[in-house]
Amino acid sequence: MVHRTLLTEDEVRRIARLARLDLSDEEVALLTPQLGDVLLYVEQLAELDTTGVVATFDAAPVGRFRPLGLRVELAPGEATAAAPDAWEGSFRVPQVIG
Amino acid sequence: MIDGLCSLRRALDAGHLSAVEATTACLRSIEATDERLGAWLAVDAEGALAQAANVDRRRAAGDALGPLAGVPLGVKDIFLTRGLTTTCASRILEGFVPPYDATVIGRLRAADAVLLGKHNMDEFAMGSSSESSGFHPVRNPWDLDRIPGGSSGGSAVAVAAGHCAGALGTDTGGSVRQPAALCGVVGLKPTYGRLSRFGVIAFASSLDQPGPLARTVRDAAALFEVCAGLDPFDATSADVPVPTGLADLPAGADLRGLRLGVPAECFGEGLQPGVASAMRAALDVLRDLGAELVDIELPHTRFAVAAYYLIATAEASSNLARYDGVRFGRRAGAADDLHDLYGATRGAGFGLEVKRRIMLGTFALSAGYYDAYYQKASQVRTLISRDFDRAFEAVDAIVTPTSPTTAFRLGERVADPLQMYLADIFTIACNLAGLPGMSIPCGFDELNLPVGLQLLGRAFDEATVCRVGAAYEDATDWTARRPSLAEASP
Repeated sequence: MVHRTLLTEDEVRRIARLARLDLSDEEVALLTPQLGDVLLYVEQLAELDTTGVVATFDAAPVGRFRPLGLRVELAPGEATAAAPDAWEGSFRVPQVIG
Repeated sequence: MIDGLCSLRRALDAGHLSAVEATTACLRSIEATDERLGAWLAVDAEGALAQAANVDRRRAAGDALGPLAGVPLGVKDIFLTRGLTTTCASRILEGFVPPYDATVIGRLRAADAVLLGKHNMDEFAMGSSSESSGFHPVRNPWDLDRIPGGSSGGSAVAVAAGHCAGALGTDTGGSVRQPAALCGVVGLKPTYGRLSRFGVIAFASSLDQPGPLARTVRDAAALFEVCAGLDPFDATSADVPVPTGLADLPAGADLRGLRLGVPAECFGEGLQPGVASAMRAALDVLRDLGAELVDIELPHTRFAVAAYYLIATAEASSNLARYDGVRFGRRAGAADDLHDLYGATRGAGFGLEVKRRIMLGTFALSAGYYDAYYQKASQVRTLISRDFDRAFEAVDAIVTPTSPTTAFRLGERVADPLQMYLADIFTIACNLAGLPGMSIPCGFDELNLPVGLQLLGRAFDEATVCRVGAAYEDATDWTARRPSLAEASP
């Protein structure tokens, strides 16, 4: 495990960009030490030798993943009813291509 | 006042009261005390009374009725409810009305339950105190200056306060069991895959599991039996027969022949004295009932909180990518391009705890850190599961405290996220291993705040967990105690 006891404000801003999450300067200042504390805490995992241990990514004790049997069918109007900006059964977004 | 689900069901079946009368009593109780408690985000009085009247009409006509006919319930605002606002206590979903029901909601409706409304919670189920609701905090009915636990805090409070006969919450790291413990009610987290996650707003998909909260073990079991079972809409739903008869477990049974594991790790330092003494007394009761108490070791569970806060946040950062201000929910003002729209919408719509976890999860999955954080935590998850596998070779169920402390004061841990995360230290390992767990009231501390006992079982062995819980409950009178605020309501 990488030892990273310090997380800088620049790194926090970089992660926020990756997460598409606008943070105010105050939030960056607050989150930087808090996230650093949590990362310091999780470094205890480094004590454990996990060489050769298979990772568990799901908790399904049996069955694992089966193919989806069914899907919900929504009419176009129903699917867009909760959209913040919809137009004739479509979702409207800011212009993507110039 | 509504006094438990099974007793209400008997009264309704016997015609001692109508579904409309039961529903009206619940609505009055909500009106009388919820202004102080904040347990509800939406109450559908008109819809609930219409459902109740329909049950009464059909009962009068001699029609066959479902197993929860006329029983008024509330559900955490994480379940999609067709036609009824669903926010997950987040401003980003304010006003969102889902076009379909979650599978478990459909099962409650098919059982003829009456749906009173939606319970307040930590935003996106991220929290252990229900203080991170985007709307207003929830307060503990035993002491209004204290938190009710979380994230299913509104559900635990509504049951404790007599607002409803039972509730459905979700448990990702303890979110059903911990608030149940802190509010003096029963909370059951079934085996992962038992209850469908379809239509349940996702937090951490490999850990999330819906579960009932109710006054008694049998009440919780009645809800479990209705909601559990294979669902083709959920790819991780388990095709394992659901036990029956748990709501009708015989009274006064003993526990002879059962071996209960007592992990040394859960009875050491850090346990509040009031919790420790309640637990010691509870172990004596279980021994008196005939159970054999066996010392066991779960050596990797002390790493569970660390592993969980990498795995759960990693999954959350991915699941919450869908809140983009395009398809549903709120959108932040004018944006020049799509990336600005995403950033501004998410920055304005998510609360601080959700942002904190998205950031942590994004970090754990980001290039250069994935192996050291997410992969490592997922390997530790395997070690934690193996601890349980070994323990269950020697015992039939495991007993621990649900929470190391009773309810803490509002605001006490808000500024220290790590301390907040440690509130789940005894509940998290169960989610990582996908096992069933239950919290049962087992006493009060010196401030008259409830203490919860946790029972953990083998995968898909909710039956043993319920059997032990019901026997303990029959031998004690903790579940009969009510907060004074509930006693005073109509």
